[in-house]
Amino acid sequence: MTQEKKTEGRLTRRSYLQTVGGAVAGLVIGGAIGYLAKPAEMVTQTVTKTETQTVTGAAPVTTTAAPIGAVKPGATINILSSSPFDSVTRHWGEVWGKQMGVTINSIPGPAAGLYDPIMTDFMGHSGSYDSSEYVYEWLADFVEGGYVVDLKPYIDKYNDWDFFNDVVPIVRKMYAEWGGNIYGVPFDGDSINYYYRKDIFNNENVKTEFKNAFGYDLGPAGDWDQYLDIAKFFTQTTKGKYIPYGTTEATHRGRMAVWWFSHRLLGMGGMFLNTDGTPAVNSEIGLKALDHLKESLKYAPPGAIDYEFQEHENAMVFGKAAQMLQWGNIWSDVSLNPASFLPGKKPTDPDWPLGIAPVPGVGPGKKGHTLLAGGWSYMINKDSKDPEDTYRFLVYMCRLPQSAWQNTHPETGVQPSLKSHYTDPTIVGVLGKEFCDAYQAGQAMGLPDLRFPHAPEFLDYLDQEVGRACAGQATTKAALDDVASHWVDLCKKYFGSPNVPDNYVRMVM
Amino acid sequence: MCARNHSWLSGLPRSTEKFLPYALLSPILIVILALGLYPFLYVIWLSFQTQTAATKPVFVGLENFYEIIFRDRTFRDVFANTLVYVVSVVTVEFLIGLGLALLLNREFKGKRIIAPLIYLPMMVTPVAVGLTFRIMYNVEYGPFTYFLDLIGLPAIPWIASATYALFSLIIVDIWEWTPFMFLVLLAGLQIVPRECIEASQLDGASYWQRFRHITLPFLRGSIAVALLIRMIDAFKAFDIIYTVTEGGPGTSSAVLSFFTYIVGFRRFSLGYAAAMSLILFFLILIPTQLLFRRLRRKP
Repeated sequence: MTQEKKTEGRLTRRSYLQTVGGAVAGLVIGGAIGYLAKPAEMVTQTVTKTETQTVTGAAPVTTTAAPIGAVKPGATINILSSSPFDSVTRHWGEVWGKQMGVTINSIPGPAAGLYDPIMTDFMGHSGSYDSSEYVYEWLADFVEGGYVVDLKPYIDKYNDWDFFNDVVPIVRKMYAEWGGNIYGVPFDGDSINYYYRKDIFNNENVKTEFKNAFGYDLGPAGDWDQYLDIAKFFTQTTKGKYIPYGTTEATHRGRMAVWWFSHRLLGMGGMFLNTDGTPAVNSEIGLKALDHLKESLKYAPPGAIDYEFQEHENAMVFGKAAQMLQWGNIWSDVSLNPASFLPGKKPTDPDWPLGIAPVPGVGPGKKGHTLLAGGWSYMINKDSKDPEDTYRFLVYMCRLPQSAWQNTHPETGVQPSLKSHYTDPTIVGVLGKEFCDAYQAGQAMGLPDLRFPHAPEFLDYLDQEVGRACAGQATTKAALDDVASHWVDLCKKYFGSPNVPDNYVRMVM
Repeated sequence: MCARNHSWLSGLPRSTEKFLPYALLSPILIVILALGLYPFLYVIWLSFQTQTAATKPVFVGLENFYEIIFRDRTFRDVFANTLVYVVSVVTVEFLIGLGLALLLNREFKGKRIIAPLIYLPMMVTPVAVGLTFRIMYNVEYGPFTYFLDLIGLPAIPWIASATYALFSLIIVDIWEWTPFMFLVLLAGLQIVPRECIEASQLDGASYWQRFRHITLPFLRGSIAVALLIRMIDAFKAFDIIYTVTEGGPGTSSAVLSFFTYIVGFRRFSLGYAAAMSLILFFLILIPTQLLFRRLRRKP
């Protein structure tokens, strides 16, 4: 008994050796299994050509042309993308990764919350993402913070000027460039247009009733008064007889409110800033834009004040709204969704029911601009361990013919961003000439919202106050005056003056 | 004495044995200090700076606190929302939880099925709860609208109206966390001595007299724990707000913890957000300390 008590709880040498020996054996066996299970490494050849040029009057210059294989075979490249864009990086990542002997790791993140993990990664210098998707509003913070790679040296090395010169000029300037350098690879056109139910607009009974009610012919809204008339006609005048709602809007807190205000502000010929950098959101046009949004909400589905992107789109896809402002993916999402009012129909079908037109107020002889809302592109993290292969993959993914895939697969949500997209037979064959011509015309008249350092803070405050005005918590004037006053405070805090500096003003005009 | 009987300690000098507990605890202490104390001290430091994503920190003294308390109208609105939210959810959850605990503090047929059903909501991940309620609150096709229509009532714009949005979030919180109150109070009721209850019944005490003079005093500790924990959690509410309304429409359903996230991670105004989070910390600390002392006072 005493002997048992003595040994109870003792760590004997035997039990110690057994434990340690077992742990070591387990590690060895596990490591061996892991090693044997590893797939055979791709054998890649890195072939470089050396050229010698003789410049008159100078010593011969030897340049090394771009490598054909991966710069770092076996590397893993992490790319942060929002859903559904991550389906594109995954798709092309598998193809290109196999060719090059690298692994493209597509990491999905929430579109509305990408700024947070990107900045956290930058500020912590953890290098978790070699590349991330971004919207142009963030680019200035990235560049001024010294977080992203200037792409020009790589563009020169790989002679990719054909691709960058093919990007729609306003898209390249606003999405990818800052301070004369190029930091982004444009991926998604993200231009807003006006979409309407052509089949209902062309209905003879509808046309007659509209003309009787408003005194002019029904057609896609050419200005914002017509937009409201159409909304009122379907929702109120005909009490949903032809289609439940005359419009659908989206003012969910976070992004939608500021965008749905900005469509109207720019479409009416207004701007966010005056030429001297002082706020212009509370100008006469700004007040009119916000009042218009509040009025439109009365004719939109109940709950539209809280609509996010998908709920807003579903209102058209499920056949509830006669007109809307939206990104280009609505064009084919109607046929993609099995619950839509028109599943299976293609945009090139002669009886395709959707029409596309410029945003009201935009067009030849008009003052308005299209809002480039979002503008997803990819940048390269300065903490990336393989920026060169990351760059090569991004350009590969975004140039033709690869980008024809994402532009013709509606589930990706990608819209045209290259000039050659609008003449590419694959894209035109799927989306139709009507869409391509209209989308291109609207994009050419595009302008961004804000893009300078701290722009997200300026825009979030505007989003908050637009939401408060729409919710009845503040009057239109009080809300926008508050925004203007707060923007002046932010300018003093960050720029040392009550206005946005001139060089930043020129970035958005 | 017992320790020194173990063979592996018998060779150690007494001075080493004295410091042995600290040495064994030091790894976890280091983790707690690194993950708890260091970030807290960093937030305090950051609250006296202006720092954003694109700028280095610049010392501004108490400017952030001054702005928040005296000049930020949104902070005042959100603070008012937070008080309404916390008082409402804690009070209602306590009353319903106590009622359920008293009801189930007896044996009856079916108790083993009913009790788990009551605390089931607490086990669902808050994000799933939020997203589900967001769909249910939909004015057009949500089930709440359907049932209201069945009984002839008009649809309520639950999360599509500044009037109802905060109230809608309160309902979600009550649905999810009342089971927590119920569980803590039911556990507390188990320590009430049966003999006291039976003796008071023999003496002719009414149910209310028994509850007030016997049950409640024994329950004080459990009530203190339940109220404290729920109050702290309610002040920190985030996931429900984020998934259901994101603080909208406007700022009608924004609470302090969520607004601090917006300022810190959407606007990336880090110094300002740090100051706000410190204010939130003291807002939680003071009433919880007062409540704790009040309820811990001997009857």
